[in-house]
Amino acid sequence: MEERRKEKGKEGRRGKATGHSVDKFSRSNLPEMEKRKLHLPPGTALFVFVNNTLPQTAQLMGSVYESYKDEGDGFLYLCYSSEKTFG
Amino acid sequence: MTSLPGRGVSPSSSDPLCEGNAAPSSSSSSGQDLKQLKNSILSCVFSSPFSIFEAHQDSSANRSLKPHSGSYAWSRFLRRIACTGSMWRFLGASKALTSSDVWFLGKCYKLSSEELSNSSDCESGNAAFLEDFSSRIWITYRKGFDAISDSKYTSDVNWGCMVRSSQMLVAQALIFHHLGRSWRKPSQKPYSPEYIGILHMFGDSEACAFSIHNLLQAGKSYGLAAGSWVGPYAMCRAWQTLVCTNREHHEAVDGNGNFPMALYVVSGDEDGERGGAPVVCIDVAAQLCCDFNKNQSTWSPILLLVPLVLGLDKLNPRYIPLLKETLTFPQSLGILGGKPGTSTYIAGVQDDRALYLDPHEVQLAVDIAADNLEAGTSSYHCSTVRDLALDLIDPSLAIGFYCRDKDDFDDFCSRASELVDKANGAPLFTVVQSVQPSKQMYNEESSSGDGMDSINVEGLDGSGETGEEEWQIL
Repeated sequence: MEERRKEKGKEGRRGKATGHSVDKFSRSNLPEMEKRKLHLPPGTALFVFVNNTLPQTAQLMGSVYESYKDEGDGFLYLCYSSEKTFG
Repeated sequence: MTSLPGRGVSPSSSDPLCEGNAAPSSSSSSGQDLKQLKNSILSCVFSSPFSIFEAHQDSSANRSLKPHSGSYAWSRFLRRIACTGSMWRFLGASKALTSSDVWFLGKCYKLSSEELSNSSDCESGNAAFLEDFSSRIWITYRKGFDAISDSKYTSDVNWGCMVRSSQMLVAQALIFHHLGRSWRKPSQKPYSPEYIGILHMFGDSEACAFSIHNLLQAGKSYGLAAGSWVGPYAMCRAWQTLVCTNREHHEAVDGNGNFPMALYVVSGDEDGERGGAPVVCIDVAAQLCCDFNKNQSTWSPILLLVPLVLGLDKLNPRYIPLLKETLTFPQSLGILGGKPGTSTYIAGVQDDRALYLDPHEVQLAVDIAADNLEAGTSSYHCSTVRDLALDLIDPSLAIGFYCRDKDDFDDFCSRASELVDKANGAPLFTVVQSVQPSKQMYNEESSSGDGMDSINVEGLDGSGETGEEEWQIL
């Protein structure tokens, strides 16, 4: 349930897909994300998580949705994260 | 362990314990919380190694919040205690003996403790591992170098650890390439020109091809700057840029400073990507090799860097066995990463512990001339094996691999594919032959047939420009 937090901090953003869109895109791969839409400058890391794991890029949305849709509201929640820094 | 007396003892001249011992007088003025920290740490020191480990966590948190010198001296002191605490276990000097295999940059060592075995085979396993470990190039914080471009920084203490870790990984790639995986640091001078040449390239000045100066310059557009912390993805991109720049720059002159292999940062596009597990594309690797060879269609040696984030807040534990297995690949160059905020060069693994080279030790900058085969190189080697629990590693990290030729690359791909099969649906990265042309295929039956060629991300920012709310950012 940790992933279901609503967070808008700079470490992670969350998006969701409705059952309708997954229907339509069930034979698509993961959607290509434009970094600027996520308020990330070009050249920063962008990783997407479903259920705290990186989905396989070649996986079809339909199968991701079926495996990880929210049982409560039928949404598929995706978390986007950039990377941490070290010094 | 009597056969290996030097291991627990760090080189005395650069030992941060000396700094740490001087710290209490200065720390008395630096705040109540620090004193409390000190007290709690000291009480931990005299309890179990495990709680020392916990204490170290506190100290690094303290460091990132208050990077002023007082707490810094203490955190370094504490770090050393923490490392020493965990080293005992590794060395088998405490009760927690282990005789499990060590995997170190693709080589397996069978270690044992004295109590478990007296056979000379095992002793030589220990010695062989240590010789291998201490032959790796160790790159640390340095002080006293020429200021970095227009900044005033003449030291990278407290901010350069990711840069240093990446230098260690690339230095290992170069050692691997020029001298082979079985190369060991010779005990006698003169050293080989290849070895000295590699060390020279990592010197701390703009004249050295892969210096911190040049890396920061190359990585500017990825947020690299003197004094700033950096993540592994940005670091890999900085290397990509630097290698490319050096290649153009040195084209007309000579091969010196040229990176002798293709470099493939396995990641999506700069402007946008799908963000799932990265994909090693064989055709892309072939093209990079071809470019490296100036369009002669032969394969070339190639360095792969795979930046990853393996969990939102902490490392998802399901990735740990996979990470460990990458260190068993003969192509392994180890991992950039470490505990949150402190990057190290993770080069080996034993049970649930990562074995690493630590850049967080301050040494004076030294200048190793490319032709000085008598140069002193001891500050570039470390015989202190440090370890940390794999589940404490920060999820942001990067894995490196070196493939010497096509056969080696094919071997890497087949190992990586086997690892995908073991990943139970969540691999670190995958391997494909060619870039998949079709990103989006609509379900004919349910599609409204509106002819979009990608998922319309306009709706993603919630601006409501699309009629259908297919994706929504929360």
